[in-house]
Amino acid sequence: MNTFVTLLKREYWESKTSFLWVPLVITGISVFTALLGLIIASTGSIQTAEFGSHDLGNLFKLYDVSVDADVKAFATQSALYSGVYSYYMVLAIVGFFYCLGALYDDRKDKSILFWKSMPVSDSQTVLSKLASVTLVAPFIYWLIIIGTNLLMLIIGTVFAWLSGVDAWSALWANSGFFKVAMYQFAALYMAMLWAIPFVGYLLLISSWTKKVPFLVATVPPVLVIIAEGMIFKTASVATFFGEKMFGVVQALVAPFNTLAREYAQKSAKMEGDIPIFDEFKFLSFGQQFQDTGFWTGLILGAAMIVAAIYIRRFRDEAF
Amino acid sequence: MTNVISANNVNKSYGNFKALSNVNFELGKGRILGLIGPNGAGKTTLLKAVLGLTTYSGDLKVLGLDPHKQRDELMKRVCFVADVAVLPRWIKVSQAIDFVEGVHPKFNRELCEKYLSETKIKRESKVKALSKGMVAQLHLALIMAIDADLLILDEPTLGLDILYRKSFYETLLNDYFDSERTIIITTHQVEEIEHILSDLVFIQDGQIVLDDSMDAVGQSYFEVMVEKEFEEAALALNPMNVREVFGQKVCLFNGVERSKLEEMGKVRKPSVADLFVAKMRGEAKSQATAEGEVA
Repeated sequence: MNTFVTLLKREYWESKTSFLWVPLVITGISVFTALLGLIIASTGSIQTAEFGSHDLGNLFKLYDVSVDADVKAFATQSALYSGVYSYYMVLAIVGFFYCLGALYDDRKDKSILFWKSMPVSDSQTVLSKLASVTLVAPFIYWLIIIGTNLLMLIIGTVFAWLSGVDAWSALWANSGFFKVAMYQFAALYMAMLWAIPFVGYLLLISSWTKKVPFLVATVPPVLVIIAEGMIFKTASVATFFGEKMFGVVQALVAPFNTLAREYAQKSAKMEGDIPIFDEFKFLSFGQQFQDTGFWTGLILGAAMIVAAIYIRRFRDEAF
Repeated sequence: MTNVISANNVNKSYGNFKALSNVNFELGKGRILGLIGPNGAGKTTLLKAVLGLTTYSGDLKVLGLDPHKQRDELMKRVCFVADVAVLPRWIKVSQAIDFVEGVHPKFNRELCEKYLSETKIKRESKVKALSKGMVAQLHLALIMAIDADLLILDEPTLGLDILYRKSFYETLLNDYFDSERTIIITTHQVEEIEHILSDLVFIQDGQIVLDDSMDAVGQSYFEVMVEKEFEEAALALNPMNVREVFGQKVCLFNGVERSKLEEMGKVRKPSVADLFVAKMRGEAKSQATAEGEVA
């Protein structure tokens, strides 16, 4: 157990930039943009069709008194929740390059012989890399996302004070802070499960290739898709990739869908309207778990990870 | 007593190239073996086989284990420094120590700190900021702080200055080595290690051409500074190698009685380097040279 924790630490040390500093920079940029936007917007005034010209503080007041709690809840919660998209996109890019380098970089610089001189099995090594990208990195990103949510609420609070708006009723009371955090947590890991076939594929390439893992990982699938289209006039490979990628998106959107549904149900009760969000065809988590494509992806991913371990274990390393 | 290493007809080919052919040798506990061979002779392949890093055919046991199949088990008891193995450039010295401490049950942190305190390496430095020699020092400090049954050093002192090389081999012999441990060293600087070796193996073209203890080598190989008047007599005894020093012939003999040689000049134990050169040139060639000189 100690060994595995040490291996995870090792991965964290090596990838600290992409696991920690990159998301922090995103947070810095969003917080900076939010502040800048507020400063610019609150010094000017905004033209609205219905209510004439107002400065932002007045609009915020108007929002606080005229909008009912359910709408506020939906607005605040979906705004807070939306952070998960941009962070996951960054995580996807970071994870892509992490996986490509994971079992290749140390072979390239020969430090593999140092790692291999330690009593660590190759399964442990590969699994520690898998755990780093699918468990550790999303967790760090999640912590940073909820930290960012908190910062955004605090900025909102300061702005509310400046505008003479009751921050509690306008923001906090309906922020669903913990609920949103839990939804984001679930979305990140559900999306990771959908991404397992990609992770497995990239780790396999990383373990197998003798050079330029990026090209080796990307060019053949593109060629296969083109060839399939030209020869068989079908797109089953592209569809397979598309399905899995759509699964990732679906996992990220599902909680938002839940938020929307909650809101729609509440407003339907009050106004007797038909819930508008039933139009969405995104699957809930429960439905995703019953999806065959989800499981074939997981199984394929696992098989490729096993292959990556096998290659790492039995390949003759240059010395 | 079981051997630390026993190899029976170990073979390894890369395509048509035979990297190891019918290698047989045994190494007991508490020995320091020098594995000497020219570049491309199969030293590294042999070490890789011993470390379970490559496949081979034949029977090879290291500490009673099959190195390829039981590699994970083996690495708990074996340590190695490969000549081209570098420490990862991104790692900090302190992280490297923490890492080895975290994964190796037999790592002794204080000992490692002690070795490092004799160097100028700072704990906060990253490996990429260290000089080549410092990286080697760090690597050796990490590995020597592990209580291993078998230590394999492939060109351990490459890039180190002579002061550090000297003190490294002293530490290796005095502090590290004991009767429970076994060490295998390869190096091109044979003269620096020959006084600490207990066994000697020469390897050429994948074959073992000499496998003896240093004591046995000292009893069967002699080098004679032949006096002028005995030159012909000496060459008639088929020396393995003849070289000239200040116009005087120095002949290397194998299996000729010492008393007989003492009549012809000063007899001494050959250096490993000279023995190596003689062996590598091959007896046939040295004979031809000898005949040519007689004529």
